[in-house]
Amino acid sequence: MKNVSYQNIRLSLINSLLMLGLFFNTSCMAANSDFVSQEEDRINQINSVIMCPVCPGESIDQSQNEIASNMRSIVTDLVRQGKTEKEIKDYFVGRYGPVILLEPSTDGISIFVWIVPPIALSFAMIAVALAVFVMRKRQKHTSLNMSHDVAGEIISDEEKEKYFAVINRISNE
Amino acid sequence: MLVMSVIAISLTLAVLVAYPIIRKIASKSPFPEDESSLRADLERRWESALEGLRHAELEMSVGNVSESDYLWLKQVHMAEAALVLKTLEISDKEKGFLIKRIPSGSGYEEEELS
Amino acid sequence: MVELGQIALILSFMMATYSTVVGFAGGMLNGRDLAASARWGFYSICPLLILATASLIYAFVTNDFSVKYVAENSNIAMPKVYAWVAFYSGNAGSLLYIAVAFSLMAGIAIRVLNSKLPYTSPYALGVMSMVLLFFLAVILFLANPLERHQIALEDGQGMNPLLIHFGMFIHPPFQMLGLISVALPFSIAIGALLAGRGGRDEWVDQGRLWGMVSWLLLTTGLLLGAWWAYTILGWGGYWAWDPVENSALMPWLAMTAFVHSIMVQKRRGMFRMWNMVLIIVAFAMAQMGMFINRGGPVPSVHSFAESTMGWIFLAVMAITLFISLVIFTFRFDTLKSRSGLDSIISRESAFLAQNVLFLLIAFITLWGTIFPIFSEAVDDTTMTIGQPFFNKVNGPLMLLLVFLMGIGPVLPWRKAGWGSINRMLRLPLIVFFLVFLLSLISGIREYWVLLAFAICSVSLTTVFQELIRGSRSRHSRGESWGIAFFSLIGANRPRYGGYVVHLSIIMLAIGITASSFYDVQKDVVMKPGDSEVLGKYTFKYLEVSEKAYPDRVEETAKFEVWMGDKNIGYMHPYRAFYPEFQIAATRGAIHSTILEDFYLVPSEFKEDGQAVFRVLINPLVSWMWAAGPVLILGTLISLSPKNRTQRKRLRLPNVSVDQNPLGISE
Repeated sequence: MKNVSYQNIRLSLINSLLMLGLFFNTSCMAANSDFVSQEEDRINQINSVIMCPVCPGESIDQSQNEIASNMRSIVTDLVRQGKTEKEIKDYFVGRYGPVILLEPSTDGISIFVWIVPPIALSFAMIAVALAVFVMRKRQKHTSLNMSHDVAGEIISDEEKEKYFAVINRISNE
Repeated sequence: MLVMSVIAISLTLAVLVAYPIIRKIASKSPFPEDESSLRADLERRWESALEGLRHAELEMSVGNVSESDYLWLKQVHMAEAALVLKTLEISDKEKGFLIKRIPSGSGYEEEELS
Repeated sequence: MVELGQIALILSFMMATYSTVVGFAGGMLNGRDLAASARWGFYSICPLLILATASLIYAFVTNDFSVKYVAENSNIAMPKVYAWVAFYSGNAGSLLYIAVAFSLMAGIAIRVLNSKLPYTSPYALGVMSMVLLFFLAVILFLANPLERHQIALEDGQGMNPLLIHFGMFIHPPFQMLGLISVALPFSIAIGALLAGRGGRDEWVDQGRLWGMVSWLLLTTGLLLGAWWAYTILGWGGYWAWDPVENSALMPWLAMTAFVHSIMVQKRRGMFRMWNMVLIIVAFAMAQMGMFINRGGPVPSVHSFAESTMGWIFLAVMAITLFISLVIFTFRFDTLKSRSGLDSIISRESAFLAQNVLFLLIAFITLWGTIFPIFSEAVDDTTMTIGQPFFNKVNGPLMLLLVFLMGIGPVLPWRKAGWGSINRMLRLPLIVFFLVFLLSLISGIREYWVLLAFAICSVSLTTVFQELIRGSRSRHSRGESWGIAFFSLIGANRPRYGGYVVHLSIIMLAIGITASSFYDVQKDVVMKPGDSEVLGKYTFKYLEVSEKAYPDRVEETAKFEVWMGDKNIGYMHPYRAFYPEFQIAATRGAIHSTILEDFYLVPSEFKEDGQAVFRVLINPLVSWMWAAGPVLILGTLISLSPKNRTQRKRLRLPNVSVDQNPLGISE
């Protein structure tokens, strides 16, 4: 028992060293968030959820297209005017339609996008539970969960000794 | 030039696919070991039992499993390996019955063995 | 030369037809000569396709614009080295690449299968030839890269400039190879089902081997793609949940589940049906990936190989899925597991949970990817589903996977009593709370990040716990630490190779978490001579130089950068404009350290000398790229074959009925 705790102390030591490296990084990163103003953060945040209309699949934040950069400056202006995120999104939806938003809204048919994942998750959990239940039951029913009992019933003690000797010899080679 | 090379390639291909059939190379050689034979199946079960044993030893030696779990695992795998050996030993007609009772590895139904 | 390639294509099509028919016939009639003939026929396809590919590359290198495909994807102005790889930049050529690569891999696989599974391999061969036959048919009848124009053109249209990057040499080949290689374990599994020869685990070893090969290729392709996007697309990110990225991720998820659950079948004879389902699903998703990449209905940045034939891929996917499921249903009763679960808390059930979780993520990804088609059909609303949705939904699920990755591998097979659980999970749990608390103290307030780091450290702890305990136990038996460590890994390669792979996944997870929550981004307008500060970096815009090439104009900015007081040298981000395409490609300049990347990319150079730059600080990104080699190393370790003594130990003692049983000497 003494040995075990000694081992754990050493392990914890090594681990805490490793983790220390992580903290170092994380504290750096925590500081990082102060580098840019909150306003800029918000602008970037909004840019990343608005799609560039001519470069499908890319946000205006990603795209190097001219239209995207124009739209970025519109966003910047609107934010400086004190518009909220919702107002800005509505502004673009008004001009380009809902397709311009990278994140689907929660009304109309788009609601399905959001409700299917949790439904799928619950189905998956039920499926796992069911599978575990069935597999447990099978093991009990076939009475093989203690396969050494079966062995005892089929293999005589004499044979058992003989077999075990062979197995031990081979597995220790 | 093009025509010649096309003819050459086509001929090579024809010879390539016709040769094994005409010379019957494959059927002249002895039958390869059958991956679905009883022996091959026992081989897989033996491997899984022995791997299980080895694994249990490893877990025990590094201190991952408790004494009681280790003994249980060892007993189970020993029994499986012993059943494989027993199956090898006994006569054919009993095999179907026995092999069904080795819980790991692949399985045969009785009718497949008759 | 082109004509010769054309004829090679036709011949290879004929050979594929031959080996499909004769392969299946050989299997069904148990005709070993037929099977051998089919096999030799199949081997001959690879050289034929190499000939066809060589003639296409020759046409590219010699600028033979009378070939339609060459004219569409190359021009004289293009840098010469790219002529060698331009052949897979378009639709027809990429299909040819897939065909030639698959014929090579499948040839090797068939050779191995023929010796390991001699009675199953004719069927597997039949399935593989069928896959190849499909590609060759599409190439010959719908998208022939060797087709000639009526009139020879002076110059071609050129390759998409976004592809002119070093990444072009590595990312597309690996990605396509990865997608098509899923067909290998699939063929082996379906071959085993078709052969239906009583036992059910014959295919497991080979399925695992080729499944892992395919997994490795897929992973490499994905990582290289991320790296390419990061260095070239110039927005400072590496993954955007773009439809094509998603379609490459889905088969990867399914294959990851497969390479894990196949181990359960090997060890326990369980999950037989499940493995079949998984590999069928994985192949369907790989086909889906090719469908979406080839002008699928969803808008994407990857539309390089766009064409109308995406729908053929979809139809073939549906047919493949249908036939596979029919075969599966017919063999349903032979796929019952031999044994059940000994305990709810065991390795087996961890694997089960992990498998389901992987498939769930794949399903949600699929759902998000195809939902726009769905909504357009049902409601006539067009919409886009991008990054925010996937991050919100898949992010937490992936975190859960990392958690399972931490505790699953240390749960013992079959049964874990509380004593064992205590021994294995006590330390990781302590570390979990410790890291959580310390992160909180060190000022992290994003609760997802707190959770992510705590979970990553659980996985990290279990991996190190395993490695340290293992080497310790060998060390206590007299081996030196170094030898103990390496011989521990050497003696249990699948296990410790797996740990190494897990280590790389943790590195990825940490990199992804840090860079998506703590990246800093700023757009700055500067003119030469200006200086700006971002965080501890000070950067001075010195000058811009313009240089004209035959195909493009490059504007290169020169920066001098300081980190704190330390000068870290000059950085040269540039922007290349391709007038023929009206496309600008930007190349960021990255100063990478172990902690963070300082990333500079030009957005726009204005007439008046001002320029807009985007400046980013991306923490821990270099960890992600470092994870790649670690991952490959781990996979290779766990794939490397057992050495002879290990194999010998696992051989059944050679006794036959009624002779001296068991060969006991006394």
